[in-house]
Amino acid sequence: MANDEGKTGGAAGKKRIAHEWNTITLKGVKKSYQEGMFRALDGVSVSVKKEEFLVIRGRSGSGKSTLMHIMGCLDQPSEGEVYIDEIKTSDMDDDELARLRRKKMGFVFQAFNLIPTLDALHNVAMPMMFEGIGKSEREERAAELLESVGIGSKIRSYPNELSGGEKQRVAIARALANDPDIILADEPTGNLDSVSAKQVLEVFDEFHHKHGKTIVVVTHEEYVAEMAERTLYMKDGKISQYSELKAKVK
Amino acid sequence: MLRDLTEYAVMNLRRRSLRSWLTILGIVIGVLAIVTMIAIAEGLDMYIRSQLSIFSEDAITVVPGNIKDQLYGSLFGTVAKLTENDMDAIARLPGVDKIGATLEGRADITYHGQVMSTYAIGMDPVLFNEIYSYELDSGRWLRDNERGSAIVGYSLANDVFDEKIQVGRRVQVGNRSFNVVGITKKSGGGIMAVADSVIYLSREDGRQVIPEFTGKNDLTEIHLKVAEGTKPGTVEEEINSELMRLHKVKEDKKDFSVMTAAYMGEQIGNITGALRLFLGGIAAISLLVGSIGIANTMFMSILERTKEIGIMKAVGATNKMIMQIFLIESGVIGLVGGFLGLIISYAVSMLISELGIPSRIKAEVMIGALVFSFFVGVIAGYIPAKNAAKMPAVEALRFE
Repeated sequence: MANDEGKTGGAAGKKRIAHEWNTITLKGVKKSYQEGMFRALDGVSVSVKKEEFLVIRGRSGSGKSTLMHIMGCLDQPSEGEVYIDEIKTSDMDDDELARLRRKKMGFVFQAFNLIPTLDALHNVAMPMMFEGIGKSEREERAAELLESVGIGSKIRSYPNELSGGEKQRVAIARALANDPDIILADEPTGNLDSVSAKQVLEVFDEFHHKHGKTIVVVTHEEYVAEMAERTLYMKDGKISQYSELKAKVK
Repeated sequence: MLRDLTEYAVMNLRRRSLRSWLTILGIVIGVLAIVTMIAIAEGLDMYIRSQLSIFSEDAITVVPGNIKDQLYGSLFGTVAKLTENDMDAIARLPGVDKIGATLEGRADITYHGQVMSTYAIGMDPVLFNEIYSYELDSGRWLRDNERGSAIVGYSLANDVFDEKIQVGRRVQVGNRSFNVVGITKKSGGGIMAVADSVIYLSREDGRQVIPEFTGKNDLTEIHLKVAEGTKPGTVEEEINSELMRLHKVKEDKKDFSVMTAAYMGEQIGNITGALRLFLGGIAAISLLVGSIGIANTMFMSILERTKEIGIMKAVGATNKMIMQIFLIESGVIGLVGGFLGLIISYAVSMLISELGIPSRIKAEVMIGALVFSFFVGVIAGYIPAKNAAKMPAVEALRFE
């Protein structure tokens, strides 16, 4: 759970204000593919404040997903440095990154990425299994999480028995399994109808405001961006534009 | 953690149950082939040893010719001979308690007007009484220095002539008449069955009625018993050097062989060991094919589950955990295959024993087969698992 220190949420009404310190910092990050033939990121420097709700926008191929993967330590930059909570991660090996992701990050994908042969409960419990949490404890917590995202009645359903919105809520519950500080979502509403999309965004909003999660969402949907405290725009592998933080940093 | 990963791996195998079972079948056949072949070789070994158990630990047999040459493929009969001088020389060696010799060859037996050519053995009575544990069906063994008496093999007495030979009857061997004093017990078949068709005489009588020995001092075999507290190996060495001196030959040109129980055991072990290796080797090919099946299944499975690997990595699985999941899967295939193979092998082994082919599955072979099949699975799954573990998370997630 996020640190209570520095919260000013109560005074500012519903809005929560991010901390002034950075939880994710990228310095001059470049990412090339195909032996440098294709450059997805071209010198990106950006910081994400603790407990901030950040939206990354841009057209297809602008590098926004690559940026999210590097922020989430799913991928390493070709050049430049990445810090998570002041710890340099850009020279960590695969297993160090895996452990970091397990504790610090939760991912939500456009295609849900649930494991089709596991029911909702076991999909959510999986990150806790890798964390070494005992079976009964992780299943109990998984059930609680599914309850908290509003699908407590479907814990024994398999992904193919769930609607798009339900799948995405299972994915969010999974992202929250090890109580990470940061949730990274890549087009989380891209495959959803407007009603489901709204429900999913409400879940993000709730975990951001009530539980102080840092949220980074990649999207090209205008209405998603409206929820964010800050939006950055990607173009040709570079940040082309920032919006200011909606709430003032303390 | 390992328990959770095992549970997950087994669940993955279950969800592709047809493919898993077909892969397991490959291992079942491999293990079945190997265990059955080894069981046959073991059974043969056990069988030969049980047949030769009449040779006691303290008995030594000296035969003409180099038995190694004969065992390893010389097709030419030996011209080497043992003589009574050799026997006398051996009798004088320290550590020799009892000694006797045999003359073995064909002779004609006449009984109630029927003539049969059979195998006759002239032997010192000490061999029956002191060295070997032949059993009698009726009558008694020859006594020391007894002449004109014979002991008849069980089949020769009961099955060969129209009228059965019984103790107290007379039979003619060559041109001499003998009083039957004993009938041997039925040997129970196998390689000792030849003993059932033999007529036993004293050595002196044998020399007179077995044509190839008449008027010579040759012997077929010399048998002895070592004195108590003497090691057969020590006496064996003494016989070797004494006979090499008498025959004027060196170690590599030896024209006789000294066989102790240990030596015979070793020779049998060599033959059945080679057989085991040969049969096991052929069967191992089928296990190799089975292991390629595992590798193939694992490669397929990893390809299908690329995205799943990406998901697991995204939610915090380390490379080692991914590797463990896949190694456990392939190991379980091997282990289950080994276990089923073993059960079927056991049934097959019982069946072929019923059919008269000796076979035996030792406990260590059972344990070995299980451990081996598990490792075959793990080794076959190693490269696929390593590939899975090294897969970059982002690329795996992008895989469609």
